[in-house]
Amino acid sequence: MTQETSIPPAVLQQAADWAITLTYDQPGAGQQQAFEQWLQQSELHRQAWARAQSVLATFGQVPDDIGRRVIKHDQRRQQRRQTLQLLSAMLLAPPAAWLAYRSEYLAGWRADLRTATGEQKRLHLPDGSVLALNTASALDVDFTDQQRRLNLLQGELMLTSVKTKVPLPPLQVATRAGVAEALGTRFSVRVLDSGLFRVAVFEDAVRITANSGRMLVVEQGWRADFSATDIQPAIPLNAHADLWEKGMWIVDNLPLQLVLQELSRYRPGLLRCDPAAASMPVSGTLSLRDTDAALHHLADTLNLRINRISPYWTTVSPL
Amino acid sequence: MAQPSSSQAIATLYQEQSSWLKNWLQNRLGCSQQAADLAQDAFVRLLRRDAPMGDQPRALLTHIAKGLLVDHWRHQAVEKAYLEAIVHLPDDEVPSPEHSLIIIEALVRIDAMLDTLPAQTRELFLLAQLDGLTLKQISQQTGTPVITVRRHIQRALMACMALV
Repeated sequence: MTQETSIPPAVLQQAADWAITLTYDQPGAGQQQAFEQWLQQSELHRQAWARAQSVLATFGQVPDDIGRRVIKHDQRRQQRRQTLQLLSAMLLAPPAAWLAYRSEYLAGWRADLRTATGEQKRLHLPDGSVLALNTASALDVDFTDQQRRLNLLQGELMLTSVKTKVPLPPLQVATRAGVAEALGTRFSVRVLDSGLFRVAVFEDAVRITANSGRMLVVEQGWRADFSATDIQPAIPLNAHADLWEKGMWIVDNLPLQLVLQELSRYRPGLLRCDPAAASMPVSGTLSLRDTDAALHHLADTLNLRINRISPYWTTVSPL
Repeated sequence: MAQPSSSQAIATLYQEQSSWLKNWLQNRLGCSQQAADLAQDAFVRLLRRDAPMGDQPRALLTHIAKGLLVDHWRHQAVEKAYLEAIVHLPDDEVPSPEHSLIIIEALVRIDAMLDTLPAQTRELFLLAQLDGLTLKQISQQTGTPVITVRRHIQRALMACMALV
């Protein structure tokens, strides 16, 4: 919105002062009267006051607790403002030849990468590794001559590294709780929640080192969860656990609630499950790239109703 | 008055540059549909400008597109944070979908307003506006004199007023 008449800064300042006095201070009766007199004095005063009220009204549209959570969370995003410098050309470039890699590598290669909810990305890193990002992911890539490091902040990644003739610095995925180092070629790391992470190994092995110093080598076909202090024992991977890279999920007898929880990672907005349907068992193949199709498939096979309240709000309930 | 046939100039520009712009955006968004939408928005904004285009149309388009990208990412981030925030609420307190849209738009405006403030100013302003503290309480809590608190909040309010 732009104003047609230009309000002098001094008047805007007066309006701001009055807003502060009346909203954040403890005004006496005399001040209330003085304010009303100021307001009556000129049309410009009233316009300035309307602008101040407009600001406060915008805040007023947001329920307090929501406002606190969202705005405080959001301010942490300030540090990632550098994501505006996405290396767009690099994102779609084919793998660098070995010589070209060396010169890029020595110069240092950094990128902030992210995917939106429901989005997946696949790209080549300067050393020829292939990085796949799953839905709602954020990571920093930091390659220098001392290290090849990915800092996973959010979401899930799959790394398929190449065997190089020249020895390269260790390839590592760092998280808030510890580091997963590639001892081979193919593994995924996922943020489960802010302190818990999951490493799944599809080829060769990975060494997890938690911040506490605990270590565990996870072999091909196994996965392990870890926090800053502790690494859980490794358990076998489900077959097809890496199928998300191809946009699919083979579900083997899971309750509907858990299935919807996982699908909601790939779907912007809310996906709610009616408690009456929550424990219905689900088996089959679901599309992660087309979650609407996945929901319709579930609706057909389990006799459910999909209620799309808005583009960002879906509920699932029995018919 | 606008230059004669300036809308013709834009139509020509559109023909020449729209696929370049769409690719430029797609490289940053990773989504072809969003890139197409924002590319359209960029040309609409160009049309709405009253100023002549100058001899660097691509640079101008890029400038507009960058602004749109920032807005787009801001909206996405706010929406995501909002959805995470209401997940914690009991079902009967969750705002209706229509209400949610209004709240999200308000949050996007607030985020844009807060963006322009230096850190300390923003902090003090949020203590008053979000946490509901009085100037005196803020002063006690932060060890900043009341007069300084007031000055920061005034600066914050005026910056916000410039945007509404």
